[in-house]
Amino acid sequence: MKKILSVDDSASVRQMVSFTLRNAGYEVGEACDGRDGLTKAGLCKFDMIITDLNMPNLDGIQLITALRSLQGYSFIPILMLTTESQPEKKDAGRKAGATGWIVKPFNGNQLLSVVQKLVR
Amino acid sequence: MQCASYERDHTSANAACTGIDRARELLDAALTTTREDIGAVATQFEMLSSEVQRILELTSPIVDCVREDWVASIVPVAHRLDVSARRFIEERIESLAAISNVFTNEAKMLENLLSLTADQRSIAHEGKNLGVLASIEVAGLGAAGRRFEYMARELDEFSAMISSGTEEVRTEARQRRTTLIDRHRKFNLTLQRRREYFHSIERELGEAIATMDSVLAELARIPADFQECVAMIAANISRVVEAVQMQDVTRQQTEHVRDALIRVSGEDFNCEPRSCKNQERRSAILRIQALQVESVRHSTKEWVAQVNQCLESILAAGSSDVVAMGAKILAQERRLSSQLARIERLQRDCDVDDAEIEVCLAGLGALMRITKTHLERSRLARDRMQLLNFNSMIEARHLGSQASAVLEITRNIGRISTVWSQLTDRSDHTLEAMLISSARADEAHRTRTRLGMEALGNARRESQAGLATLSQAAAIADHNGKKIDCAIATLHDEIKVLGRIAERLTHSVALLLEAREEIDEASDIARSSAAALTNDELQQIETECAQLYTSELERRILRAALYGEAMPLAAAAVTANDVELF
Repeated sequence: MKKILSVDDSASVRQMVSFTLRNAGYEVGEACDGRDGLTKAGLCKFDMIITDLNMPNLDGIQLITALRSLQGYSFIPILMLTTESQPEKKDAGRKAGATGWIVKPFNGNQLLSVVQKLVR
Repeated sequence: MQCASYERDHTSANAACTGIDRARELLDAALTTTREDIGAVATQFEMLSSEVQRILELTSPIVDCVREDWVASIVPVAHRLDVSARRFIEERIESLAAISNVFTNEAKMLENLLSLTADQRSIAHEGKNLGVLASIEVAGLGAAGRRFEYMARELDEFSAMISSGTEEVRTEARQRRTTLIDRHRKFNLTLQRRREYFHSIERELGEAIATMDSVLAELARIPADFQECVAMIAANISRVVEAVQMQDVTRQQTEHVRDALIRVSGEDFNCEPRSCKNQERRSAILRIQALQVESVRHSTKEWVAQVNQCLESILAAGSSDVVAMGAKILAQERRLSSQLARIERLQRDCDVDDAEIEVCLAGLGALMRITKTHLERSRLARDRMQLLNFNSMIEARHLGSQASAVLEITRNIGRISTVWSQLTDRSDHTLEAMLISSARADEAHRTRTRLGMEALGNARRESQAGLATLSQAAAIADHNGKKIDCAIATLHDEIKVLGRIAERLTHSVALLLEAREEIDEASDIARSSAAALTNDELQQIETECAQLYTSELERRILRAALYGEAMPLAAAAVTANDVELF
């Protein structure tokens, strides 16, 4: 079973990401901010990370940069799930190593479609 | 003038500050309430969704039974059973009525037989008397009468022979009549009850088939309805997932408005009345915040509506035909099963009836055997009497004038012989007709009964085989139906809890409206002595405010407030599920 880590300072968003992915058969871990996400990624190998951008204690861009230098996470798909949609923010995410960008609120089927495409 | 104006401006500025502080408090309260409530909504919604999924999984096998014709396959079989049963009942009633006619005819025959044997008894008695007379005359004639001694003997033997046979037949016929009356009465009562019983079976079987037809026609829609139901629930769940996420968007929006109000309220409203630009600037910033709050209020109302709509659709699914389908399948299986049991009982009852009819008809057969034996003897007696008549006439002529009494006896012998011959013919015809009628009725009853039983038995076995499939579907429906009922009860409880939380969320909407009004008022106070801002000044405000914004929605609202662009209310209308893979 594929494992996905959901990183967001909003508990309700984490809950909805988990709900959507668990119903599709994925195992889901949760982290409440960037630092928590980095710690958990270090402790357990995930097949994919879905992270918010604006978070306390390490934002999304900083988290992605840190993850890409973590062993085993160089090529793991990392999705940004955020309210932001500005081209410069997306560019920053891409440069940091993000695999894709989804603007909140996400549609469940669309999220699943993207996840299924990226997680093999 | 300047002092009065200053006083008025100072009062207004204090009022504006108070309003802004009040708006901040309201926004904080809304944030706290919403955060708690949306967390509860998300948790409760997950449980609800899981329960709904369980119900759909439990319903799915029942729907499959309908889709794969486990249920519909019984229809043609049940119709054939109905046709067979009706045909059987119709033929059965006809043959029972025919048997009743046999009994009626037999009663008439018995009366004829008793009348006939009464006449025969008279003849026997007359023969005996004639025999005595003949003996006296023979004795009187002396030697000449010796040729007539055989005549007296013949008459005696004739009388004895037919007397015993006649009495035997009469005794048997009377017994048979008594038995027949009783049996015929009981048979007619049975026939009446059977008619009512058969008609009730026809009626109830017909009703069961008609109900089954209409229920199965309803059930045939179920797979398509189920698909729609599943799709609708999935769509509503999807909308709730989006709605719960929107709280994160509105939370950020609200926090940004609160932060902006803190900055504005930190500024000195008590500026000189001549410095209108600051006033207008503050007014513009407050106007932006008011529109942001309006957007938050609109979003909150929308996602509360989404939650309520989802709950309504789940409630509708819970009480829909799809979920109630299991009980209907079970009801049909039970009804048909009950009808089959009745038909089985009908066949057993008919077997019992047939056994009784066999006994009745066998009794008639016994009488007919005795009567036939008597008839044979009667024919023998008739032939002997005719011979006696012929011989006695010849002998009487030989005697001449001495034989006048003997001649008279001879004439009586002739008369008795003729009457006996007629009686013998009568009983012959009567018996023959009865035998034919009885044999026909018996044969018809046996044949029809055998064929009818076979056809009904085949139809019943076919129905039982078909019912096995329906019973499987009913077993699944029963097993899953009980679990579905429990799940629906749990579902209703969870929906109530979620409904109460959704109601609490509407309180946040009221707080946001109040906050917006306070901000509007503060904005109006600030604008009351203002001059229009230039484009550069507006752009400066835009840059300052946009620094903290994290969504396109906020930026569009900012531009709507500053430049009069179209005001977007919902985040979904702005972002439309923007997805990009790098």
